[in-house]
Amino acid sequence: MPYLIRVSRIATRPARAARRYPVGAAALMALVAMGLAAIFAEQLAPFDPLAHDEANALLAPSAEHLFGTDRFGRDVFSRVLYGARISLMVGLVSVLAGTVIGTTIGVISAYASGIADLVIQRFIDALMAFPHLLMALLLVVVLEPSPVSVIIGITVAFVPQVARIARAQALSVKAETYVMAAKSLGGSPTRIVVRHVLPNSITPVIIHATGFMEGAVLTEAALSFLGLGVPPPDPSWGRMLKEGSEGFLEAAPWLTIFPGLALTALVFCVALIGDGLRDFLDPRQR
Amino acid sequence: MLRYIGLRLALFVPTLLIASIVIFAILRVLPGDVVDVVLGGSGEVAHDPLQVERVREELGLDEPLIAQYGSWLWSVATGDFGGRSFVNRTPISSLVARQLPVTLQLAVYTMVLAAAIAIPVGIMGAVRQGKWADILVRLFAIGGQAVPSFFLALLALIALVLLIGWSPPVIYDHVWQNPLRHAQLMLLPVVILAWGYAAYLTRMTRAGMLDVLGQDFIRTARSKGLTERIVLVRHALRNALIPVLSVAGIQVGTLLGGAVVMETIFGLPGIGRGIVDAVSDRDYPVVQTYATLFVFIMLSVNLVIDVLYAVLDPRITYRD
Repeated sequence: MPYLIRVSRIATRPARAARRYPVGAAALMALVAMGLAAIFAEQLAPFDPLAHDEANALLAPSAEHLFGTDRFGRDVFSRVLYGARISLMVGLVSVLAGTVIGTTIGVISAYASGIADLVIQRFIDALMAFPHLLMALLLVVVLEPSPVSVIIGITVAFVPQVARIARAQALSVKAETYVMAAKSLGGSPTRIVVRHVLPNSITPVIIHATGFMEGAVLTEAALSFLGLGVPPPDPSWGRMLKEGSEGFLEAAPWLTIFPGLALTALVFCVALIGDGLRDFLDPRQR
Repeated sequence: MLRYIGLRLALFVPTLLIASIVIFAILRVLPGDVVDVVLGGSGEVAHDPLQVERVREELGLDEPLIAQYGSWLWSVATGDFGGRSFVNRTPISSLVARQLPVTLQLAVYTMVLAAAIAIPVGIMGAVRQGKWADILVRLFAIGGQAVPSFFLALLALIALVLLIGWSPPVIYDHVWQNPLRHAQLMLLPVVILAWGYAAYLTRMTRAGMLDVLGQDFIRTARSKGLTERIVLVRHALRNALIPVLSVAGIQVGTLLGGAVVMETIFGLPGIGRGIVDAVSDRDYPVVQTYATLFVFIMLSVNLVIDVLYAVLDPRITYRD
């Protein structure tokens, strides 16, 4: 399992990995910093992100309010900090859930072959014809408006692509000699799938996982921007952009600029980590 | 090749049908009574039973699900596009006739502009691999991928208003009505969407060219004394474009999602804004038809791309 060896190399020799992939390592550190900021938002935020303070509404950025205040006098810096929670949670949970579900479906489909494979593939064809935003939007509207609905919507939107990638890889792994050897040694189908096919099918899925995370974070932001994502009052970057763009673009551009920059920074980090990971796990595709 | 195209066509209709059933199932089968949603409230408030009855009848909810789906399908097949909007009684066919051209124009402008930028830029990145031109190309690609289109749009609006006091027109004109105003309104959304779409195409063109340029037949072509231009365009690009095409197909979904958001920001009356409005109004008949329309566009573009694929690479035959 060459990929496991490679992954363990990152774990055991982090300094060397960081030197060979400085951009990816820096991006990973930035992402960790954002994660910490989100976890410790309560300690770091100078103000309550939900507290109204009408006397101090729409203040420009200053030493006291680093990113200014919105029309209710809420501190934008504190809200951006708390907003990182939604973006990171939605991104991580839906990628994890989507990867697990999608890989399972893809590997089962490849291993089942025949009619079952055909039926699953036609369904995946149909599901892949949905733009991610559309699928997420449909599900979120039908479910209760909540962060969990957003996660479900985004997960379902990304599952078919993961399943397609995992299936393609599993099909080629299935034909490898070591799978045949395991079969001839009398390994049960479950054992072969779990021990041999699954671990060897996962590399391309991991490479694409960062792409899915970018997509998930952007889809959440877009849903919230359209007013269909995480419901108020919890701050989400997408909804902050929506609120800032409704009549305050000229008067208070800081309402738009700071949450937008935070969102861009997060997606940028994930993209750079993905680039580094691709170089590391799959040097042929450079 | 004809057989391949024929099989692709044969798969088109079943895929579209399955997708429309999925949409129908999401809208009708998932928990939550459509009537409650249509009448407003979350199910805790009791509605006037007469009103509930009227809504049920109107939506055809008293019929079995299969009959409901069947009648929707029939009305689409006969050009009725699923009846009338639930909110303002407009026939959905006239909504589609009004809104679809806007989105299609937006998408076509974007794809043409993106391809016109991405292919030469990607080739340049590959030819000057590792040089500063290549670094710029990679920055262009990763930027387009990471900067959210709606943030970029808002930034552009802020900058233009504050710096030169210009903002795009508020009223949409078709290109044949008022070409100048049409161009002014379409310019920003098209450029912004095209950057995002071109990002993926650029990456794939660059990677594909790098891959192809290292192969033997390129060395042969060069040693035959062909000009670099012919080697790059005739020999390398044709082969490098195949993965670019498949990415172009996959990314249409992202493009359409971006179009939904752009139409909302710039007030373009397309089907993207149409579906967001319908979803907010719980206008289920419109949502059903529009969502199917989006899937139809995705499948059509991918069908065209599959055919191009076969034209570009004669080795491709249909295998599943």
